[in-house]
Amino acid sequence: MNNRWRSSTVIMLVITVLAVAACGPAAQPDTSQATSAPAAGSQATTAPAAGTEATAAPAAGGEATAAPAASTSGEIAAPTTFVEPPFLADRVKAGKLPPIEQRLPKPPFVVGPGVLLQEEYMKWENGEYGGDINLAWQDANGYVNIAGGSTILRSPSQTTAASRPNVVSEFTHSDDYTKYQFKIRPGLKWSDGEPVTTEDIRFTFEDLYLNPDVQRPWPSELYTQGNAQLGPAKLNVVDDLTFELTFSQPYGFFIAALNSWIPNYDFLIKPAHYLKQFHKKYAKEADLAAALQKNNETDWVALLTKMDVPHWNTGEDRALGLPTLNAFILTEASETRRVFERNPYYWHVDSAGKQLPYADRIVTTIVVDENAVGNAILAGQVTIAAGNQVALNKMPVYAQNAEQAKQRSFLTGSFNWPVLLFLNRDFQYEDQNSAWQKLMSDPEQRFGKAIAAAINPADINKSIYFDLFGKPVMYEGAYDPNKANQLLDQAGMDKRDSKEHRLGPDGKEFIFRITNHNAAPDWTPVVELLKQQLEAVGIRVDIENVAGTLFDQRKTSNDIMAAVHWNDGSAWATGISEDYLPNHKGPWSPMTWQYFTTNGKQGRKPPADMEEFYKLHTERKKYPPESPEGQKVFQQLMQWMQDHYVMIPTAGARTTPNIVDIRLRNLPNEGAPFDLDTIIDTEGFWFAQQ
Amino acid sequence: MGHFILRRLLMLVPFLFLVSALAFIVIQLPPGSFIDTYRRNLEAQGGTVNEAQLKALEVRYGLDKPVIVQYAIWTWNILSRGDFGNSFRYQRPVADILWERVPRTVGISLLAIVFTWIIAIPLGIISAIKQYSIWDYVLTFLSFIGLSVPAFLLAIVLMYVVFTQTGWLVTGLYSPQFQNAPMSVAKFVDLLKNIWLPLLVLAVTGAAGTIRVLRATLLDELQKPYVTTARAKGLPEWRVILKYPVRLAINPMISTIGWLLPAVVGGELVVSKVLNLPTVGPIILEATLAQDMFLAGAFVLILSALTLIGTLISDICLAWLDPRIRYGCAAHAQ
Repeated sequence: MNNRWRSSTVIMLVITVLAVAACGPAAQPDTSQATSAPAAGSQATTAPAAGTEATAAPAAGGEATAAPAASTSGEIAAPTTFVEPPFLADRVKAGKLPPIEQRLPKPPFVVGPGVLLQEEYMKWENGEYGGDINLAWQDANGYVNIAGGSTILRSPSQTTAASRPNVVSEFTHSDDYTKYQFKIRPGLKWSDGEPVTTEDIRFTFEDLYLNPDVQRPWPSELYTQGNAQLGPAKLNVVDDLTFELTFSQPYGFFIAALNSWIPNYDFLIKPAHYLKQFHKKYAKEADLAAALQKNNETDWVALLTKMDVPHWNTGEDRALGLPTLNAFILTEASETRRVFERNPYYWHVDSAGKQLPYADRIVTTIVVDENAVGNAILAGQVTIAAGNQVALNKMPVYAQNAEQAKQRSFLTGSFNWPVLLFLNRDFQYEDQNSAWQKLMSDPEQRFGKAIAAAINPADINKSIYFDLFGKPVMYEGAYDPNKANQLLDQAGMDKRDSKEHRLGPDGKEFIFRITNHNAAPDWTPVVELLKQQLEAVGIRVDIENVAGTLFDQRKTSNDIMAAVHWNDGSAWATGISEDYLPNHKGPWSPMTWQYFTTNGKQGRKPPADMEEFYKLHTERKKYPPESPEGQKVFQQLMQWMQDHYVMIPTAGARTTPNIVDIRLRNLPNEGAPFDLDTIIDTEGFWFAQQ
Repeated sequence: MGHFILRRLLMLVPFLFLVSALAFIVIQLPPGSFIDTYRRNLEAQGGTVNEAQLKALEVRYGLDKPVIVQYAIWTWNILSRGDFGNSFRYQRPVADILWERVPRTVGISLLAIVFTWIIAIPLGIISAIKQYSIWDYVLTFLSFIGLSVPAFLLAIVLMYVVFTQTGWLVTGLYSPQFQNAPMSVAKFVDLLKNIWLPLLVLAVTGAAGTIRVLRATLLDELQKPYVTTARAKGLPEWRVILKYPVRLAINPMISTIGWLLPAVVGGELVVSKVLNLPTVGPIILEATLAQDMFLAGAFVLILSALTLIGTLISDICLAWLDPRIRYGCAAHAQ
C-alpha cells in the first residue's frame, strides 16, 4: 500500500513539475512574437494603451489642453453588413455606382466613441443619413478645407498619440524613428472610383518633388526633423500597397505630421491618374496643348501646379473634377455658392454599417463681409458657425435670436490663444551701444520679468473678454507692479526724465515700441491697456499700428522691438502646431532662426542661451511629441521660453462660442477644448428628426 | 461736331495707357505683394507654408520680375490677345470674373437711377413751383436728411427695423435656397422681397441731391421773362413749366450723366458690402487690399475707359438737348 501511494505521489509530482516547466517557456514566445512583428527591429503602434497619456500641457497654469486619457480600450468592432445612403441609392440602381460593399476598402475605418473626439468631450451616437449642412463663409474654401477628415493617421481631437491608421491600414516604424512603413488600405479608392496605390506616392515623389522641370518645393513635414538642411525623406515602394519612408536622422515628430489636419494627406499622396494628364512626361502632346488652351495657361508646369489643388483651396473652381480622399467633394461652383456632396468612396463607417459622412451635402454661400456672416447666422441660414466666424461679444445677439432661428450655442475652448506680447531678442543686435540689447542679454532677464510683472491679465480679461477667458497659461500670478518697479530699477533703468518716464540703462531716452497689426478687433484695445499698465511702472510706450503686409516686412528685416500676435499655443504640446518658433507668429528671434535654417549662411549666430533653445528644438524633433521623451523635451523647451520671457500672455485661454442647428448631434460638449473640432469632425454630425 | 467727337475718341488711347500704368503702380505701392496676403490667410486658418513654397508661388505669378516687366507683359497680353490675365485669388481669368458680376451691377445701378429720377424730378418740380409752401419745407427737410445720412447707415437701420418688426432679414439679393435655382415665380418673388431695400436706399440718397439741384435751377428759370410771356399768351400752367423751364433745368443733370456710366458699372461699394450684394464693388475692394494686381488693374482700366466715354456721351447729349451749345464750331459761327 505504501509503495503504491508513494509511486502515485511521485507520478503526480513529476506531472506537476513537467506542467509548470511547459507553461514557463510557453509564456515567452508570445511576447517575443509581439515585438518581432513585421520587420526586424520595428515596433507596431497599436490602439491607444491606457496610460500612455500624461498631461502634456505647458507648465504653470496649463488649461484643459492636456492630452486627455485614451477613451477606447481597443478597436471598435467592425460591422459586417453596410447600409447604402439613400442619397446614392438612385445612382447605384442605375448602375452608375457600385454597391456600397464594393466601394469600401477591407477593412474600413470604424468611427465610434472616442475616435474623432475623446469620450469625455463628445457623446457619440450612431446617426441617421440625410440633410444639408448650410454655411456662410467669406471665401469658397472656408470650413471644408479643414473638415476633410483624411489624414494618414487619426488621433482624437488635436492629439497625436493614438495614431489610428486612417488612410493607411497598417503603420509601423523603427525604434529610432528613422524608418516608417505604411500599407494602404486594400480596396481604398479615390472619389472617382480609381484605386489608391503606391503609384500615387511614387508619382508625388519622383514626378513632382524630385522632377527637375516641376521642382515642386518639398513640404517641411517631409524634411528630416523638419529641417531642409537634413534632406528629404527617401521613398521605397515595396509593392502595390506597401511603401517605406526613410529619414537621415531620428524624426519621431513625423508622427505628429501624419496625424495633423494641417498638411492633411495630400503632401504624401496625390491622384496620379488625374494629374498625369497635365504632366509632360505622361500626357500626349495634343491633349496637353488642349488642356493648356482650355485653362488659359502657356506653361505645363504652371498648369500642373494649378490643377493639383492643395486641400486649403478645395472650394475653388479648379478643384472640380479633382479626385480626393476627403469626406466631401466639390460638385458645384458658382459665383456665390459652393456645393459639396458626400464622397461615395469614403472609407469611414460607424459600427452599425452606415457610411460616413451622415450629412449628404455641404452648401456654402459665399458672402461679402464678416458682418454678412453674422446676418446669415441671425437669419437662421447657417447650420454651423464656429471659430473666427463668431465673436464672444456678439453672444447676446445670438442668444436672443436662437429660438427664432432654431439654433443653440455652446462655449468651447479655442485652438488659438489670445494675443501675447513678444519681445524680440534680435532687435538692434548689430548695434554695440543698443540699450535694448543690454536689457535682452541680461542673464537674469530682469527686464522681461518686469514686463511680466507689470502686465495684469485679470484686468484685460475683465475689460475686454467679459471675464470669460481662463487664467494665463504662463506667468500666472506674476502681476506685481512693485516687483516690476524694483526689477526695472535693478536692470539699470532707475533714472527718470522730467515726465517720470524711465531712462534706458545707457541713460538716454527709452521708448518701448509695440507693433500692432490689428488682425482681429480685440488687438487694439488690448494694446491700449498694455500701454496703460506699462506706463504705470514708468516705461514709455509707443504703439505702432501697421498693416499686415508691412508687419511681415518689418518682421523679416528685424525692425520690430516688440509685437503682439496670437498663436496656436493650445496645440503645441501634441505637436499639431509649432508656432512658438522664433519667427512664426510674433518675432522673438528672427535672425537666429534665419541662421538656423540657412545653416549659418545668413542671420545672426545664436548666442549661448539661444543655442540651448535650438538644441532642445532639434532634440524634440527626434521623438513623437506625445511620447515620454517627447513630452520631457517639450517641458524643457517651455521652461526655457518661460525663463527667457520671449512671449508674455496678456490673457488666459480663450473661450469661444459655437452656434449650431438644434437638430444636429455628435457635436462637442460644452467646455470641450477646441472650437476647431466643431468643424473638423463634420463627418460625424447628423440631423435628428424633431 | 464730328471733328470734336473724333478728337475725343483719339485722346482715349494714350490716356488709358497713362491711367493703367498709374493704377498698376499704385496697387503695387503697399509693402509686400499678393504672396504675403496669401500667407496671412493661410496662417489665419492654421496652415503653414515654407519659404520655398512661397518662392515657387512668386515665380508662378510672375511676381519675382520687376514691376515694369510685369506691366509690359500685362499690357501686351491685353493688346495682343484681349487677355486681362488670371486673378491670383480666384485662379480664374479676370474677364470671366468681371463678366459674371458686371451685368448684375449694371442692372441694379440702372434700376436705382431710374427710381431716383422717377422720385426726384416730380418732387423737384413741385418743390420749386410751390416754393416756401409746406410741401417745399417737407421735401427740403427730407432732402437734407437724404444728403447727410450715409447710404449704408440708412441700409443698416432699415434692415434692423424690418428684422425686428417682421422677422425677415435681408441677407443678399436672393435667399440661399434660390441662389442657383433657375428663374421661377418663387425666385422672382424672393428677389422682390430682397431688392426693395438696396433700391430704396440708393434711390432716396441719390434723389436728395437731385431734388435740391433741380429746385434751384428751376427757380432761376421761373424768374425769366419768357415764362411770364408764355403765361400771358395763355398757355396752360403745366405746359409752361414742363416744356421750357424744366427742359433747361435738366441741363445740369444731363451733364453729369457721363459720370453715371462708371458709377453704374462700379456699383455702390459700401452699400453692397453692408447688404451683401454680389456686385463688382466688394470683389474689387478685396482685390485692391490683397494686391491681386490683374483684377484690380483691369477694373481700373475699364472704369477709366467708361468715364471717358461717359463724359463724351454726356457732352453729346447736352449739345443735342440744348441748342445753345455747340462744340468746335466757334470758327464756323464767325
